[in-house]
Amino acid sequence: MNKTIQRFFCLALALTLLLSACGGTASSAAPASAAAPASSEAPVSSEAPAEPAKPSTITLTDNAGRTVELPYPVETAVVANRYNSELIRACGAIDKVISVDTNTAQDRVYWGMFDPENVIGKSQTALDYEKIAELAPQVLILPANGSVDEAEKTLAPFGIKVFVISGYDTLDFKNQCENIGKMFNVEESAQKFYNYFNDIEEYIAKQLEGQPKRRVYLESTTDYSTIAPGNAMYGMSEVSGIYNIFSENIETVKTSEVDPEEVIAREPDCIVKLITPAQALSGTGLYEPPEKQQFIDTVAEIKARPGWDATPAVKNDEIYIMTQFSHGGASKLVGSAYIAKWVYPDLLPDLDPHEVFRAWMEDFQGFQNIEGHFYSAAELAA
Amino acid sequence: MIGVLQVKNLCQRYGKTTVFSEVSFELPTGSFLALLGPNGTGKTTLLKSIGMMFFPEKGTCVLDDEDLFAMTAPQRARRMAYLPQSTHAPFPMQVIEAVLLGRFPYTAFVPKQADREKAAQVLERLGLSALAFRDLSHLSGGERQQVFLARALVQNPRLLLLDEPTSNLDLKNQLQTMQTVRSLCAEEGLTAIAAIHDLNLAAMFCDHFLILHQGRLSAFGGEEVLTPELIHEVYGVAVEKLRYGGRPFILPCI
Amino acid sequence: MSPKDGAAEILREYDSRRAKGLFLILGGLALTLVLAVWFTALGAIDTGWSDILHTLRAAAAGQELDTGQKVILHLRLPRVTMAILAGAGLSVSGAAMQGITRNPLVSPFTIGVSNAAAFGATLSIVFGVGLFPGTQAGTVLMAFLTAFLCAALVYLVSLRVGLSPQTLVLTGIAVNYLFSAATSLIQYFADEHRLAAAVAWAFGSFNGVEWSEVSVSAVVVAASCALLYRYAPALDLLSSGDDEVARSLGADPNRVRVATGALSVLATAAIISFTGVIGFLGLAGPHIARMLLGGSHRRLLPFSAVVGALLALIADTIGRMILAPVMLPVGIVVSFLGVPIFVNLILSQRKGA
Repeated sequence: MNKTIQRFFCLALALTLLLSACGGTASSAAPASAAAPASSEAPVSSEAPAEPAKPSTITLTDNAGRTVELPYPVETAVVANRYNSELIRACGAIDKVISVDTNTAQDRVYWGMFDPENVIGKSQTALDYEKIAELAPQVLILPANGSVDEAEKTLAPFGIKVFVISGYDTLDFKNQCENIGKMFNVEESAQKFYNYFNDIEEYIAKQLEGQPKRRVYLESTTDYSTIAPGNAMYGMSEVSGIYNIFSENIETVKTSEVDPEEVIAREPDCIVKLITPAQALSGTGLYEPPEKQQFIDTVAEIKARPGWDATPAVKNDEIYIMTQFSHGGASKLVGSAYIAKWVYPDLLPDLDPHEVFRAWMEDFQGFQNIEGHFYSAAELAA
Repeated sequence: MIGVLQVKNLCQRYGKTTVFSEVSFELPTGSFLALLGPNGTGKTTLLKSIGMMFFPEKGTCVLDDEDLFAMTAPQRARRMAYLPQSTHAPFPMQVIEAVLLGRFPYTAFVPKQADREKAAQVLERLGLSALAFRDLSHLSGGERQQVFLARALVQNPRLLLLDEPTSNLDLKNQLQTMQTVRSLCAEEGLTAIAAIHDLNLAAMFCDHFLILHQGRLSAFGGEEVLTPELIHEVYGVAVEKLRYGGRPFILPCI
Repeated sequence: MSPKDGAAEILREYDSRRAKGLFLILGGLALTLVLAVWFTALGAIDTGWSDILHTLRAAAAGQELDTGQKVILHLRLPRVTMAILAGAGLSVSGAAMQGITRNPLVSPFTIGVSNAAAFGATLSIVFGVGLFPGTQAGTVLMAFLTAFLCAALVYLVSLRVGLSPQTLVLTGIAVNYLFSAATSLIQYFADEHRLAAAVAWAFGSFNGVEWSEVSVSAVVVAASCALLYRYAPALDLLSSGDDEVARSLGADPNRVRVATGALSVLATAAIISFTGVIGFLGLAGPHIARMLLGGSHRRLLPFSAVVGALLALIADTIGRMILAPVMLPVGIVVSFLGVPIFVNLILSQRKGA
């Protein structure tokens, strides 16, 4: 019997190696390392269907520092992560997106044009490669925290490119708008979008120059989970010109829970918190805002935290709530606008965050403005 | 010398303590030797030292002119078999498979026809054929003991080492086991050494006796060395030695 | 069923059982192959059996493939092959580990090897520690290294106390908790975008495996399993009684433990490094095999491989089909699938002889 078994193992091994060889030759070999300079390139001649003229291409550097050669202009793309889809829509290229992930499509109001049955996977780390292959887009756009390497290698034989755009990365806003504008050939509308928000960013910077910074405690949708350096949302707090009380002496902690006593010790002048309605998938938000009661309850809960009534923020009723859905607009510059105005109302007379949100919703997303995503404690008490 | 087991100057340590030292004896093949002594005196250690399961500190052990300690483990395994005290079986295994393990020192990988025949014969000889495909863990302690004896015999040994073979058995099984070993010694020239603490069982079936006391060989020889004086000195118990039906009986004086 | 007295009777029965065992193993193999072909044809894109053949022929001839064929060649076949390799490799490793420790609760998962590999991968992903940081090759290498580090640690500690099975198990369990906690600690402190990758890795899935990974895995797993098979008689010895008995029969328990332990770790690392942590297979595969075919390792090892491969293959396919387009990680499905089978067999054991 042992001879049979050993023969079987040899056979299995041979078969596997044979298949690997087949797989290897049929695919355009993608190099294993995905370090900065390398890119996945399919030699155009063996993959593209027969066409008279060679399609033109464009080479761009993405959010992960990868240099990618894309067909120009991109006509079909699939996108993971809703911030990315929002950016693309703001730049005026959403018609080129043929499918998204479940985290995006779950919002049936905001993303009604996408079918939740026809998604490319649950999220940027759980991609359905077979589906993507079936849809045959020219490029997959996903953020840096997705399975970038894996996607690149798996989709290489299908000639589908992988491009990284991290819609939540406030500090990369310029690059993102440029890339979207260039790849989809919508440079004009992308520029317009960029300018609108860049103006706001510059206005805030100008007005706050030389001014003493106020201390702010930022909390995400998870209680006691703060936004510190290394967190993707930290860029947002930087642009808003506040002093994040956890930007120092917190070298190693990125998104984890902080000690409530530390918050008290660091004496925040303001508290800004994110909330999201219960029916949203973990880590996402919905177009329909949560009930006003949820805002009221959140403020009450914060005030009730033991010892927190000693902080300037609670004493002066400077507590502000915004939703997961709304703050993320334009790489979270919408969030920056609100934070800046809440914290420095007198220094930013020309900044009306509600108008910013309206513009974002109506002009750039093509949606009716909807209220109820931003509240200050004072407004809630009224 | 052929036909003799010569143990010379065997010493064993456990850490810094000496368990026994300078144990020497000569045993003709076909003998059934009982290793006697109180608990903790080192009977089992002596047994395992002969079997090379512990490496002895010093000494030699020569069987039929072959130096057992100088051999490789598989070579030794073809001359010497060991019957353990405990018969715990953690994983399910059939009796026949367990017995076939005794051919491990001989087979390359798969038991050959000759191996299987040997195993089947031994099972039949010990009256265990009906149990051949039963699971070890479903047998009684006594039956398992018999199975392991079968395994030892399948090794075709010339020397059989038994570690407290009767401790966990009922009266009938005790007698049966000792009788089987004695017959094997008589009929097939097997030499057996058993570490045992039941003096009367030893006296009933063994023809040679070695008493270990305080790390030394206190006595070695035939049944005559089992004197009440020696037993009193070694075991701390006053006894009388009687004869009944031509056999010696050790009777404790209570 | 119980034979009457007679050596000849025993021999006949033995031969017939051996034949049945062989039949079961080969039958299992055949079933695995059949299912492999069937499952390769299943998916979002409609394909059939013949498509698979056409794909292979076309690929061998170096022809241009259409999307459906590419899906078969680059997405489904590697995935199915990896599932079979992972199931077989983890199961055989588990069987060997259970044998040398005489402990039915042991598996590559419970004694730390899987979590050590996860730790290594997390180090590479999050901190860029080790060789070729940030690349997949680097992650795999780190996973291998830490898996061996774990095994070495367990061995060295046990060696001081005589390398007994109990010490191996206890040390393994302790080390398991250590690596598991260490991995969690890293994730606790990780940058957000690295965190997602690290967490996803710890989940265990065959999604996105490709041929280069499958080849490495195949070579290592096949070699380890073949070598482990040669230790089958020694494993029988070690698992059936104390070390003394093994020594008296001519085996060197320590050497066997080191060799088979190393091979098991190698096979496990070769799988976990690519797929992430998958539990249950290494524990249940051998047990199911043992309950069906008995404990003789010459049969147990190959049959464990077969059982493991079947479990992994079926679980993976269910995972990707049942809630399409959402894909459930195989680690989750395999427990749901395997536990009822396992429990059922346990219950039926009570009635049997």
